[in-house]
Amino acid sequence: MLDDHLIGVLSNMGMISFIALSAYLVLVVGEISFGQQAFFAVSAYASGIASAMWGWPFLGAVLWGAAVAGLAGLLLAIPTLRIRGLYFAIATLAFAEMVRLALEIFTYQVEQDGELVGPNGSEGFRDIRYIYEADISAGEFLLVILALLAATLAIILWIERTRLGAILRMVGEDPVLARLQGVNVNLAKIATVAAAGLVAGIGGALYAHLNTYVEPKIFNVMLGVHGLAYGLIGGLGTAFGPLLGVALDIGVLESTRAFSGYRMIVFGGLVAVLLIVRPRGLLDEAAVYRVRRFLLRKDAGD
Amino acid sequence: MIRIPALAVLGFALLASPALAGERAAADVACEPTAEALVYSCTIAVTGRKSAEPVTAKALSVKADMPSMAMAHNLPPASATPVEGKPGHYIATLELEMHGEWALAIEVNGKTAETAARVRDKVIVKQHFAPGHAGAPKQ
Repeated sequence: MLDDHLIGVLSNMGMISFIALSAYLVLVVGEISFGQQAFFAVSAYASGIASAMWGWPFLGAVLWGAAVAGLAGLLLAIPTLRIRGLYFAIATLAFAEMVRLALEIFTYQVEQDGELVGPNGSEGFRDIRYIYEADISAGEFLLVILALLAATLAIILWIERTRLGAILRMVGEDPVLARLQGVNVNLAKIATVAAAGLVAGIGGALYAHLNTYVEPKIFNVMLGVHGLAYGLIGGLGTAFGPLLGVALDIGVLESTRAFSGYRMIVFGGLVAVLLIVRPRGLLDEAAVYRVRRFLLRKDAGD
Repeated sequence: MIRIPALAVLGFALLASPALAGERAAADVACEPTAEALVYSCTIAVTGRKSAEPVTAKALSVKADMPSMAMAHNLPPASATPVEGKPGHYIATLELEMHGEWALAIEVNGKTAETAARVRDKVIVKQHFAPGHAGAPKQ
């Protein structure tokens, strides 16, 4: 049996993996986003409202939160279509800060059972207590997180093996060349940023329900930087890369608890060293190619 | 080994609309610094939110998380043990990693002292910890 702390750590790893995968999708099409935490936030609030205030079932609330986050991704993708590189990165950061500041003043409460429930500006949104009302344990909720993460990962890995996956890589490598090959680069980018929003949204909905409360401060730039860094640490050659980044970072942080608050410096150091040594992460395209070739040879040998 | 009926129950719970179950909890937290830096002794008074009756449990779990570094900067759950002769009062020791604002998630699984209503809840209490000062509710 897992103890409470391990369940908590694994749950955190699972939930933050959604932001990591979300940032990875944007990286695949050649852009850097510091704002994926915005979609996590939008979904946390939207799904919390659905289950705690409207009485929706959990899975309905998660789907609703993810859909709203995907729509927010679409709203970000369209006006930022003409900007690239550093400018896109700054635009995503600005968008995330706009969302966070909007949540600081967002108030929508209803009376339930003699108490006010709902988002209350900077005080946050408490009592998203579906799992307590449905009597779901933390261990059972971990299974839900892992199941949704596995399903999301499987879909991304499947897309990567299709023609669409090749098109997205092509857009990321050289959008001009992709356009010359007849690829609709604009559509590819809009769809990817919206899908990235949806993926982050799944994580946000899970976070709100596990923690029972959210507040705007949680969704600051640190969360986005972590999500982005996981892809850069783990590698951009496969969707397993961001998950490897999550495992390495949280694994290192958990195993260096003896260093107290100083252990957080490890994270910055890890990113800096890896960006110098392996600019596209541990599982970069070359590493993935070598692994695939090895597996194919092994199959042929058998 | 996870059994299929258990998964079926979980699946039903995730698809069903939530139904209010049992009494909800409220908690007052007072944290005092100890002789050791960043170590705080916290007294937690837990009551039923409606009945205001003390909530009795064998132990409570207190997990501290920094909202500004969610999911990355948190502490292992600390066990809060009952204070003898004071129903609904518990004491826990928190070993923080740094000062600042922390959200204490108090996991309650017990019963109200008189009516024995089941209480399963998570109460979030935000506290600001500063060097040499008692933890103060976030203003």
